[in-house]
Amino acid sequence: MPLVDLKVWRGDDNGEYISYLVEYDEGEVILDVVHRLQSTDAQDLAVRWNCKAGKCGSCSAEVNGKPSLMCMQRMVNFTPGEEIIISPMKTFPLIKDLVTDVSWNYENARKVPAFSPKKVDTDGKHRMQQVDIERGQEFHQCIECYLCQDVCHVIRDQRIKIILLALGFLYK
Amino acid sequence: MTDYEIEEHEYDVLVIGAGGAGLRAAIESLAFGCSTAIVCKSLFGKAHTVMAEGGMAAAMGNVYEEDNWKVHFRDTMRGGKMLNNWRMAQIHAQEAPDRVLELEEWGALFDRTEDGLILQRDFGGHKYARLAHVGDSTGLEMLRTEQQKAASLGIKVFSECTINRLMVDKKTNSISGALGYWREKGNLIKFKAKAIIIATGGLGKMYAITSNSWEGTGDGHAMAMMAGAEMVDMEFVQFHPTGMVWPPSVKGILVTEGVRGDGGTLRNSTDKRFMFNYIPEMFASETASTEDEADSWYEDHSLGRRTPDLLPRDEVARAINSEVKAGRGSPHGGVFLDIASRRSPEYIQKRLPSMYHQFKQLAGVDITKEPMEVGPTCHYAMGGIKVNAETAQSSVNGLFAAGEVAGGLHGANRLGGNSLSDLVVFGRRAGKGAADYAKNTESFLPIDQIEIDKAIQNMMMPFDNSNGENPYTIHKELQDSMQKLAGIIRTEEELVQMLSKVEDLKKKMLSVTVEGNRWFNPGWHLALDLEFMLTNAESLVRAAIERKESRGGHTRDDYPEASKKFGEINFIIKQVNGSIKVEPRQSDSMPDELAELFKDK
Repeated sequence: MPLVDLKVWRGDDNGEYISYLVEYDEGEVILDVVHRLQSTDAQDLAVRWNCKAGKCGSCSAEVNGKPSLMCMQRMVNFTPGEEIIISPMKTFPLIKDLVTDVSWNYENARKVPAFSPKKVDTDGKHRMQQVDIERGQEFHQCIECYLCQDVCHVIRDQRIKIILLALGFLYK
Repeated sequence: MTDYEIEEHEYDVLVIGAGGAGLRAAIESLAFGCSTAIVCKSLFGKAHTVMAEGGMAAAMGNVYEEDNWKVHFRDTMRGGKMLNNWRMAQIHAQEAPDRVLELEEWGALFDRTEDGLILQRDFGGHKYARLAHVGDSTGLEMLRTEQQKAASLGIKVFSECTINRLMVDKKTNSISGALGYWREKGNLIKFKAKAIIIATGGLGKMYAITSNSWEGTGDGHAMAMMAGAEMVDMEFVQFHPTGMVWPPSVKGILVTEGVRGDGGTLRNSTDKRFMFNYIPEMFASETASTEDEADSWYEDHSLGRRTPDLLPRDEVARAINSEVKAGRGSPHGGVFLDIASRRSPEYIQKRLPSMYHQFKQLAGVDITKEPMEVGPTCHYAMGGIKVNAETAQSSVNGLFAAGEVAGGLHGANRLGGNSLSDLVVFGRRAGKGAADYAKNTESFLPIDQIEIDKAIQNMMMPFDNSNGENPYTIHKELQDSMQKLAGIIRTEEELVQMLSKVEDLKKKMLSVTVEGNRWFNPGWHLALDLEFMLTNAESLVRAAIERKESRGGHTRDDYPEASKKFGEINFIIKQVNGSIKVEPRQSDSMPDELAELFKDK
């Protein structure tokens, strides 16, 4: 297997980038390589992940400075020999390695009142046309990866704690 | 031993797991006035429910008026090869429509029929189009809806917090609490609870090729058994017929059955729709015998019998396995799933947006132009904690279970779409059951300090050990051997080999050594999950050895037929004095009015 030069942030705010040479396969994604690193040279490397298919929004990080889901970054898209730098999302307070404290999203979600439905028809059912619900469905697709906040320069650079609600909640 | 600081909490009802079942349970328990908290291993909203794609089965009759709970009940029982707990299957079929409408009341936006009602889609083993859905991301919609409901009610959530032991008052065989740790700092946390609801989901992470996320380590199964609860049907594991097989990064990731529900077909390397060769006798009378008949069924179910592509999952998984073994597989060891030649690109992108995206981004395959390559992937545990059908209570007082971790509803094989409805039907019942129990329990039971000390010592052992094996290596060994020796096709010889492998790995686990400290340390977390995975692997294998027949999610090469004798037996698995025992138990027979449904059809 070929090797990739991975530079990963280790530790908290006082941490540092550490370089590792890790085996990889062309058909893998960055998250696979991070997992291989974990199972060999860095057992305690903190990283969040769940679905590995871009659906849960857990493995958000910055790959070569670009906010990304690590499970969606294919190795085939990098030049062989290229150094890949993986950093935690910079918008959020760092916990350890690639894991950040995204709790303010959950605090804000609690401030959103419950959805209140319209009255049902006489047979107890709601009737809505597909075309009318599609706009709403779009917002419901938010996977809460918080990468939008990671790219937002207002939040990121100026660290202004605005009450930003996840789009899906705002829509409700 | 070292004194560890322990954070303490008290709740009437503690729910472990924040997926579809846990959330529904917590909402219900709170509604009955019980103080309620949820503990979950991941961030709130990342539970495996978000990965559910195709839909939620409920006989609402929006697409086919003929549909009703009796048809759904019959489909579920037949899909489960009649080994289901009939009462659970009945409750599930009867209550599922109300739970769908309830989610809609809470804000879920399901796809619509032309009349504006909830649209229902075809799925394997369901006689009528029955799955309420949102494109191919139904689980996400369900979880977000429940998540928002729970947040608006102010239910306390301990996220990224892992429970490691349940505490039981041995004299009364009653639950008293639980001990766990915060993932962030590794600090210990203790809960006193009158009732506990286990909603921890599946155990698929013990296999190498799986659709389960890192969380699917079966913690709830193993902790409940260690606490004295009876388990049932642990030998039955569903291998979903269509997981991705290539590239390696996505091996095992799910491809929704909705692809076939919406017109896709399975083909082998000779371009043949091979499922027509694998129609079992049980389903022959209601399955199409020609391609033309199958295709006209898609247009209107009164024009023909259903396509064999939509046979129950166990049948399809075995068929794919046989095709690949016979050398008629695809280049990467699967078969082809083709919707590109059968439906328009617009239709595919509209109905299956996340499949389109998943293949495009991760495999470089455009599913509107070319076929997908798919093969079986470990997906679901039919077995689990044995529960009372009405209340979801286990054999330990005050310990309840709902969702995948509970056994019984699905028998030997689960039908697609029955899982999401299971979560909310039995999540709600568990919530009510636990609330009733808690209200009738006057005071919190004391937690035995000796048990706490023992659990802490066990949790800290991987730091105290030295020169032992790396937890990742042990995990990989387990996954590879389970895949090889206790996978889709099993034999006594291999199962016995697997049992000694488990013994061997258990020894290695005792000296497992982790690096670093307790601060967000995945190596340590995995080291602790190993105990659960190995316990479940042992339960599974021991039950699989005893079931000397082939049925549903348990295929024995040495006993290829279903046997009448085993068709009336459920295996109960429990821990007695520290060792796992399996005993046969006669299944409950259903009342005549339900048995009637299976005659002459």
